[in-house]
Amino acid sequence: MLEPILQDFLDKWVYPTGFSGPGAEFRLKETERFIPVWNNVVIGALHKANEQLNSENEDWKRNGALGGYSGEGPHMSIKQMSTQLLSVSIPQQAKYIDLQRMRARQVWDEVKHGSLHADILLRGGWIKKETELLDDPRAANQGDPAYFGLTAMVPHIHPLSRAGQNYLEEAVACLRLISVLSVMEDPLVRHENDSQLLEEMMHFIEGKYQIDAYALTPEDQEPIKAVFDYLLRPWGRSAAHAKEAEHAKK
Amino acid sequence: MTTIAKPGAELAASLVEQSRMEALHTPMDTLLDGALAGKVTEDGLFRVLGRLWTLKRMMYYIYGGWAMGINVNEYPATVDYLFSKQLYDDSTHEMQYVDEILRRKMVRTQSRAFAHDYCKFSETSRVAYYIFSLRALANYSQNIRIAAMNLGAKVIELGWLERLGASYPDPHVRAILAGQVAETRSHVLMGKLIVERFVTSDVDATLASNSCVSTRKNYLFALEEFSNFALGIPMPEDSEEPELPEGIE
Amino acid sequence: MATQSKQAPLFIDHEMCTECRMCYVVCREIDLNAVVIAPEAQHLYEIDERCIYPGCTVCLMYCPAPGSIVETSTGRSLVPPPADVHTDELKWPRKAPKS
Repeated sequence: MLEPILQDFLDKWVYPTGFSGPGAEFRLKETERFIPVWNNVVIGALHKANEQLNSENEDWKRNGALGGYSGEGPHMSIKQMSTQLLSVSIPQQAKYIDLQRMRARQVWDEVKHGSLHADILLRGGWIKKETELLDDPRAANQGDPAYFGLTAMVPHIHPLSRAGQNYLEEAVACLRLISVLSVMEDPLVRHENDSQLLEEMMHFIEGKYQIDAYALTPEDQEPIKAVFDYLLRPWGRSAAHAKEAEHAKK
Repeated sequence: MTTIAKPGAELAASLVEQSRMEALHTPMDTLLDGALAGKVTEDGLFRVLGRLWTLKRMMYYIYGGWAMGINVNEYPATVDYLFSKQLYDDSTHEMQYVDEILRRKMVRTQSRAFAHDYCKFSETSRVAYYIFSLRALANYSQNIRIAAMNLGAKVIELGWLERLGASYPDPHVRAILAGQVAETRSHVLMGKLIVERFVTSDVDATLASNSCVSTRKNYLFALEEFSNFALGIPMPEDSEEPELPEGIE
Repeated sequence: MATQSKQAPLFIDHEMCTECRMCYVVCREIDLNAVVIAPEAQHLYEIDERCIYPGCTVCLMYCPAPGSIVETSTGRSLVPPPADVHTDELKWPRKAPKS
């Protein structure tokens, strides 16, 4: 039984396809593997949001914003995106300039998301100015180094590897945001999540588009599949997200 | 009220002023004069749009290289925010130039534009000379390369964009260039902020100043190629490098 | 100088659009080039007369912002895409390149 949030997401954003052919077929086939993971992400995110709603204090807001700031804040994002800008060689630019154009867009998105997290810390009264975060290791801590390293390394494997990460992981981000927004009424938290949602959607859809349009041969599909396999390993990022549902069930 | 320390304020003002002097008349103004005199054909316009597009799309490699060199907590987030916006803006400008090439049917598709002689990246061009010089700035810290780019080449770019954006005879080209003025001005202002606040030592000030001078010269060197190519003027002494002031090598 | 005109069969609702570039990228990929950047300083994305909707609906499949792309003749929002705009016949066929 799929969570209604996931079913809606699949119907609106995953299944409509602008291209026919081996790329779209590959994506839709691979998606079958993700559906249980994405479903668990929704269950876990709803559970966690409800726990937070019943919390006796607001530390979770501060911790969430600090985690967000370190994870997708300006410092980390600029590193991630720059490696990907450089992953397209000049002779390949005719084919892959869209990757660079979308990275240029994404680096701007992600640093803005850092601003949103900083905004929460400012409006919540936890800091008086953003530069205080330079002295707080929680705002810079790289909590999941293998994942951030992956974002830097995949472009060196194949320009389309990144599409796999965008498709699988940014869908996770969208589903979590939608789940949180479905239960949270706190204006500060809604501001933090709502304002990011469409940009995370865009990153997901960019992955969807690149797979549909470009992953046409086994040689181009293989590196994308490898990224999916990695993220779905028991110690991979997507599997880790889905574990929240197991926690919820206990 | 809090005052913000601006140790590099004098340097920033001086670099902007030097660059403004160089921006008063650029090779792009020669192109403008030619266009106003009816000497820029559609083919000539394609040549300059192709060169501008090539230069702008090479900036992905420059900015990517520079951004790789900004480490966590090396600067306050402001530096990253502003740089990311600049990267995004120059990407938009790149897209605008190829948009216009396609809209005018100079070529049918973007992939054909990439393959066209007017748009190809050639290692033996002055675009390459300028791009290679910018890539070398990755060896410095962000405050120095932003001083060089944003208070050097960007001031010159702003100057010719303002003039061509006001007077270029073709209304579409004029509108595109005029529309880039505000973002380019913001890049100059961002450069001012970075230099004012983050060029704090004598050695950085000297490196910023030297890099700014050479970046300006190299940018003008590339623009000369654009203008001459568009107007069909043979390139003068193509084997010579641009002259730099004494003391800078 | 704005290029977006009500004569194009689709238009972008800038109240809803995030200017993310996906429609531009996709339209460029199929060489219709009907999505362009407006020259004004805001650099909004616009659809011009090269758009062949309803013969093509590819941008609608890859637009992430609900309500952003609108059918000019009816004012109907086409994002997320309603069922009638993502039929099999409307998909652009992609084949593996011959080695």
